[in-house]
Amino acid sequence: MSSVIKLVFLPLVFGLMSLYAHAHPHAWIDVQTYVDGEDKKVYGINMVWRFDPMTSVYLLEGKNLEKQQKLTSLEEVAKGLVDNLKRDSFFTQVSWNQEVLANLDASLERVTIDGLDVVFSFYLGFDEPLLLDQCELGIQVFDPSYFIEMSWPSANDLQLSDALSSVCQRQVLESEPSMEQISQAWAMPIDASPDLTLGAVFAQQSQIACQ
Amino acid sequence: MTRFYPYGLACISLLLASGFYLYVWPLMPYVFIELQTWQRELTHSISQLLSLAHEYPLKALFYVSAASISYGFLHAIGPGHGKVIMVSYLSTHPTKVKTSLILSISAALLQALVAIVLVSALLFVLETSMREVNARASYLIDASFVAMILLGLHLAWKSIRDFLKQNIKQKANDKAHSHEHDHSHDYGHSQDEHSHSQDHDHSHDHACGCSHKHHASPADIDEAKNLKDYIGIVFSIGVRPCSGALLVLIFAKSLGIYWLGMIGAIAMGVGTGAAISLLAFVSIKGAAWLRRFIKPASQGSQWRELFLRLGAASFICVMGVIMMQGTSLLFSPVL
Repeated sequence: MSSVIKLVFLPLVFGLMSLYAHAHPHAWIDVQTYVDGEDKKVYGINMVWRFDPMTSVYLLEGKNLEKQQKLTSLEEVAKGLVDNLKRDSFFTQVSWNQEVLANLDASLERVTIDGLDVVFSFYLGFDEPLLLDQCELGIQVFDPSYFIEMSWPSANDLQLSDALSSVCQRQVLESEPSMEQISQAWAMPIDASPDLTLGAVFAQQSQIACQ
Repeated sequence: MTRFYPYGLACISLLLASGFYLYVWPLMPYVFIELQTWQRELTHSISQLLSLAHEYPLKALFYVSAASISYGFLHAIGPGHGKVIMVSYLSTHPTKVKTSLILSISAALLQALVAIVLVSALLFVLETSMREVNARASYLIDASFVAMILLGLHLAWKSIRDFLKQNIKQKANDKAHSHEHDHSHDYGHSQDEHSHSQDHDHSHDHACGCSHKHHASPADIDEAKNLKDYIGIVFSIGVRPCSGALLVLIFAKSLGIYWLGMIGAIAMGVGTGAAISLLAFVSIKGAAWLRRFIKPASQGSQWRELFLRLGAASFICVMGVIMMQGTSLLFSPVL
């Protein structure tokens, strides 16, 4: 009897606890990604992030948005975002040749306001062009702590540059986390393991392959 | 006949549990993702409605309230500390349905009130920034988990105390489930349990034998007797401001329609209260149904009751500890 209890109830209790331990996201970013390159070579990634209205208000708080000041204020917001996101590799995980690229650096950062939303765009350039004739390129965009949910709303929000799309295809796979994965991820402290974090469990996966 | 009940009960529980484990549990990720999508869409509609409030105040009032009630309800279906406390307590402590409804609703409204007071005080009185509100909110959230741990300890202590008292009493007069009291001193209360004042809670050290009736029907439960529990429950749920309410208030403030933000926050409280009430009702009825199978007032049942209550109390404690380790900021620190 006790083994039955262990078998049935322990995973239940464990699972429930891990569910409760987790703070779900209250901020959302709609991501658009343009992959820059030509002829099976990828130079960098252009990102356009659209924040939800409530988070946008938070980002713009205390900033002077009067006409003369607006541009400098938005530049400040953009700089602040780049500084903070650098530690988290811009929530962008680029895998190429069985490696995850480290030390991504952003340039051309820009913040605009579109209606209620803050739109943040920047360019992630690679040190050397990534060659895709031997291997695929994988891109994932997620906040590991899952404070913010980030996604490409549709597969069209990941675009290849014209010069790339003639020879390469892209694919966006939705996340399908299993209960085990979720409990496992939630049972872990947020910064415990770089391989399995809550945000990663829910992240979409994209693949770019060239013939 | 009655000795078959435990086996029947075990069978039914086992079937229910395995059915849940096999069929409902694997669906949880989908339910969870679906809830999140709804929440996202509602958040978006609420922001858009709020931004239109200057042009159409009445329509915005109506739709913001409706959307906020739904948000509160859906948000409360998801994981949360309020449900841990409610389910653990109500399924192990017979409580009147009416009391549980009052508890659920006052806890949820207290949550909304805490959010309004916090945001108003910080943004209007102290004129601090939202970044400050974000940081301060986490103190309240932590306080809530500390309150949870204290509540768990209080419930555990109470269940052990009651168990010991009943055992001592039983040994003394050898009459199981006696309603008689063995007063060793006078605290001014009569034999009737219903007349116990709140003082009861302070008189426990004196082994006055004014025991709780472990198998009393909900109608027999004295409200005043458990007042301390109830205050603890409402406080530990309510002191944690509802994150949605904080967001709505902050957002409404930035648009210059704080009044509508307050209405939205209260509406979210109403929605949350409805969801918790529903859960409370199910817990009470489920526990009452299970209790029908348990033979009343035997030595074994007292042990069972003790373990159940200790289990519930430690569950609340453990959840408090676990939740305290999680991050409790409202906005990501990178923003």
